[in-house]
Amino acid sequence: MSVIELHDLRKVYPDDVVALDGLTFDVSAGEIFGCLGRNGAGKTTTVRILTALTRPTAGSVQVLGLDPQRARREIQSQVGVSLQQAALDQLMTGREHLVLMARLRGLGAAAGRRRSDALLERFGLGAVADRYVATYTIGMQRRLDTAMALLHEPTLLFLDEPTTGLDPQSRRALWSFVSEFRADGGTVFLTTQYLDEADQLCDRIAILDHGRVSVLDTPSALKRGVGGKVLRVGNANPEHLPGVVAIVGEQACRIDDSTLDVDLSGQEELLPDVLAELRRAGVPMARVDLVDPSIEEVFVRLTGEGVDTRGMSERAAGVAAIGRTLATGRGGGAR
Amino acid sequence: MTALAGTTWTLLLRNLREGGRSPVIAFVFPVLFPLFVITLVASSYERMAVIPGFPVTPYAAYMAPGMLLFTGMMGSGYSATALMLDAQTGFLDRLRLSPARPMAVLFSRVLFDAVRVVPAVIVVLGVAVALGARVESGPLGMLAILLICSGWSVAYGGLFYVVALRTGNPQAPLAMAPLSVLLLFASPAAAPPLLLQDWLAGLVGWNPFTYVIEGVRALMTGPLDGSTQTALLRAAAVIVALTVVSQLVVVPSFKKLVED
Repeated sequence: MSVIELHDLRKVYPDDVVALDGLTFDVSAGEIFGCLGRNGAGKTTTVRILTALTRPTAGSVQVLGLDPQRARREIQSQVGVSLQQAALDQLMTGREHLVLMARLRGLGAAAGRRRSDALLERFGLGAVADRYVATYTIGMQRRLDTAMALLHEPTLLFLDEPTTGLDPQSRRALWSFVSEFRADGGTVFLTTQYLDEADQLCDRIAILDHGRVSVLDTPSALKRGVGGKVLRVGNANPEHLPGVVAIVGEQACRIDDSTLDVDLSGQEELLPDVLAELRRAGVPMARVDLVDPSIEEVFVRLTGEGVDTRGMSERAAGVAAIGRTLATGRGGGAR
Repeated sequence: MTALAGTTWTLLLRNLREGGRSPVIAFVFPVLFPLFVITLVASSYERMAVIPGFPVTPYAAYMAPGMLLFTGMMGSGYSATALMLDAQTGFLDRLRLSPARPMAVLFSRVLFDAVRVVPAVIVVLGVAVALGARVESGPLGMLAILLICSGWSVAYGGLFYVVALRTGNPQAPLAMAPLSVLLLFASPAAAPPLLLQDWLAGLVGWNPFTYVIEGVRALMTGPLDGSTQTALLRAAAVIVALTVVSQLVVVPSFKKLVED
């Protein structure tokens, strides 16, 4: 059963920026669905449309079988949302945030306090619950934001860049929370700039490019299906690079932490030449392996660029989406 | 309707807490500046009251109505700025993601404008009374003065929401602060029209603020001309008209902001 269905979704902002250009996909119940894309690919706009924060220009959307624009309250009472910009009031404490949201969601004073206390403990914020949010680390703010998204025990959770700016420990804690949420029967729609995160967490990944789905599949199918294998050389020396580059080109080679990856997609016939060059350079064949590409390599092959190589940060792109909404509010409706 | 009222109340409490934690603009400044003006100007201009034909003595009693209303004008723009900051930081989105009615966000801000002036007006009124001002209409009159000051705060504050929502800039309302000084200057707050240059006395008649001041004056020392009832009706008409006109722009602008 699909809990999210998008068909030919378009969003054009008043400044003529085409954020979404015919987006189509669906998300099944119980799935962790990942949305990957470089800055401006349309990830945050998609989340804002799905959660009834932004109107689409054209196309159809169904969330839990309802149209977000016609059934905003019904949807917002059943979904939890953690936005990219941790939307918190710096002069309120963590507990006050949760209690305020509990009241707005119609929970009684005692029930709201109980639920808030439970969430503060679950997200490791009990000790700082009565401190102003201004004193929280980014990790604490993100955890509080996620806790607020869970106040009303939603079955569908939207997480927009939930781990941006987090330290590795906090990232892993959030990953395990997402997995637990799904294990308890929930569905998660996740956007991320971290390819390893999408690879580890998601059942399916949609790679967005210029407001369209470039490809949508399971992480393993993406790695198998997009292009060819990668030749991986362990303990590589930069001196090995020029000979290999001369054969396959600079674009196909990447050396990182003493590991040389040679992308053979579309040029598999060059494999014997590359192996000969490595043997000539004295690289033991035991250190050479033929592997499936990583999600990052798949991403680069599909979009022609690394996900985090652009100047503008993902967070800035999210803020830009809110800014456009503000501009839309002043300047008229979407085209 | 009950849900809207409940949500508005919840958000008003949040606004009051927020104002209390950042009190300078919302609460402290509105008290300090009028207190400074009334103590300094009332003592410096004391002899104005002995000019033949000067309507009220002592001078502090004449000046008090204008200063009480000026108290409500100080800090105007705080709520409009806070609203736009909520929009910019995404907190407004957070509220929109709850089943709360979006208009409750605006109503709670407008109500905050009405409430925040009450303690400030009480302090300024207390000092004005100590300097010789009086409320001849008694406790009910004092209640009516608080009501007029709150109403004027809402009406005048509406102009700041117009600027904030039309520009989308949280700083823009703060740039409008000098407007209160201009309105005060072109009013009978500091001197009766008979002592003003003709052009300024003419301007006073066109300034809506004049009629609100005269409404408060009618409750404190009696009307300068006509009846107390007429003065109060004129003051109420100005407050209602300015509120309606400003909110006719504010409400659709806010709806546009939260509906896309």
